[in-house]
Formats: sequence, C-alpha cells, structure tokens
Amino acid sequence: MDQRTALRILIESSALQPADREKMLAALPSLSDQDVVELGTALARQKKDDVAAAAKAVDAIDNLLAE
Amino acid sequence: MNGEKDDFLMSDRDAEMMGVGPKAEIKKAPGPIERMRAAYGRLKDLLRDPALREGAEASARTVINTLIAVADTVPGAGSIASWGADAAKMWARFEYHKERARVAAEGGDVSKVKLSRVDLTPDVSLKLAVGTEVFELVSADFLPTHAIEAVAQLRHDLPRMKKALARFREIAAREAVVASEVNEAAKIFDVTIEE
Repeated sequence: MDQRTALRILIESSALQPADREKMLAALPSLSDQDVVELGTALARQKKDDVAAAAKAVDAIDNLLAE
Repeated sequence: MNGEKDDFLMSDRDAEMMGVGPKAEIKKAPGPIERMRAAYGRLKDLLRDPALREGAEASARTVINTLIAVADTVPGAGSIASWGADAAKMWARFEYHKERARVAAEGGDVSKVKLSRVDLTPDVSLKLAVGTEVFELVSADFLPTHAIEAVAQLRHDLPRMKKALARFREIAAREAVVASEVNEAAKIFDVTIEE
C-alpha cells in the first residue's frame, strides 16, 4: 500500500463531516509527498486516540453489566 | 507548485497560508467541536437501530429510577420524587388511553400509539406502582418504595440492555474488518493503532 492510498483510507475513516471529507479527498492529488506524510501521520495518531477512547467506553459498559 | 510562475496570481503557498488553497483545506485538522459533532452524528446513526435504541432507553430509565430510589430513602423530600414518578406514570397512561381511543374512533392503527417516555416504569402496572406507596405510609415515609417498582422494571430492562450490548458488539465486529484496513494504513505512517 502506498502513502497516498493509506492517506485516502485514513481520510475516509476519519471522524469528519461528509462534506469536509469529500473536500479533503478532492484535494488529495494536489498534495506534495511531504504533505501526505504530515497529514497521514496526524490522522493516524488521531485515529489511535479515538480507538483507545472507544475501547475504554466498551470496557466500562462491560464492567457495569458484569456487576 | 506552479503558482509562483505568475506574479499576478496568488501562489499555491500564499493561498495555503491564507487558508483558501487545497492544502489549507486538507490540513485543517478536526477540532474538538467538530469531533464532538461527528461523535453525536455517529450516536444518532447508532440509535436508528431498534435494539440499540431500546437498550439506550432502558439504560437511561435504570439510571433515573436508581436516582429516584436513592432519593426516596430520604423521608419527606424523597417522597416527592417517588410520588412525582407515579404522577407522571398516571398522566402517561391517561394520555396513552386517550390517544388510543381517539385513533380507534378515527379508524386508525392503535398499535402505533406509544406510551410516553415520562413513564419510567412502563412494564410495571399502575396498580403496583401506586400500591407500593401504601408501605410508605405504613413505614412513616422511611421505606424507599420506588425501589420496588424500579427493580420490577429492571427485570424487563436488563434483557434489553444485554440485547443492545450484543447488537453493539455485532456492529463493532463488522467495523473491525474496516479497522484492519485502517490499521494497515496507519502503519504506513509509523503509527500502530492496535497491538
């Protein structure tokens, strides 16, 4: 998987409004390689935080129901 | 970038700095408000699922009933909450039957008439809800009688909450397939989302 494809996947799965997501996807071909790396890293880190927060929420519900 | 070739046109770099270029658009990281809005939208999407909506309503009811039952341990003040819940239940039942009668008279579908959510113990009979208040009078307001109907309601709500959790897991499992693709994408940028 190349960096642009990876960035496209990260944008598509990001927690953005659909209109903003479309704008980002449209602008994707005009980005330099450095921009792709910067944005890809930022989105990947954000995704990591979101996944960790969601996992904590599910654990909390599990614990509540187990009691 | 070719914007710098023409002095009369704004270069890509300038456009980006002024926040009107394509890169400025794409670099605009979502802020906390945008993320909250997205989370709210996601929640609304999830609550379109009947099992998840029922589970969420059951959870909300359980929390409110627990709070009322706890408040009901305070003699005097607690009774206001407990009687308030009963009064809301009576009003909800009255409105429900009135609406059903109206729909039936118009030849409509009475099964579409729903009980108001202000009834915090919809699966508990009005007789039991009001009847338990007798114990309150007998115990000089010391017995938290709302707990009786709250527990009776919880017996109906617990399976709903469990069903919602199972449905949530089902959705999460489906999304995990997408997540594996996202994990691979993140690795390209040296970020590991899941160990």
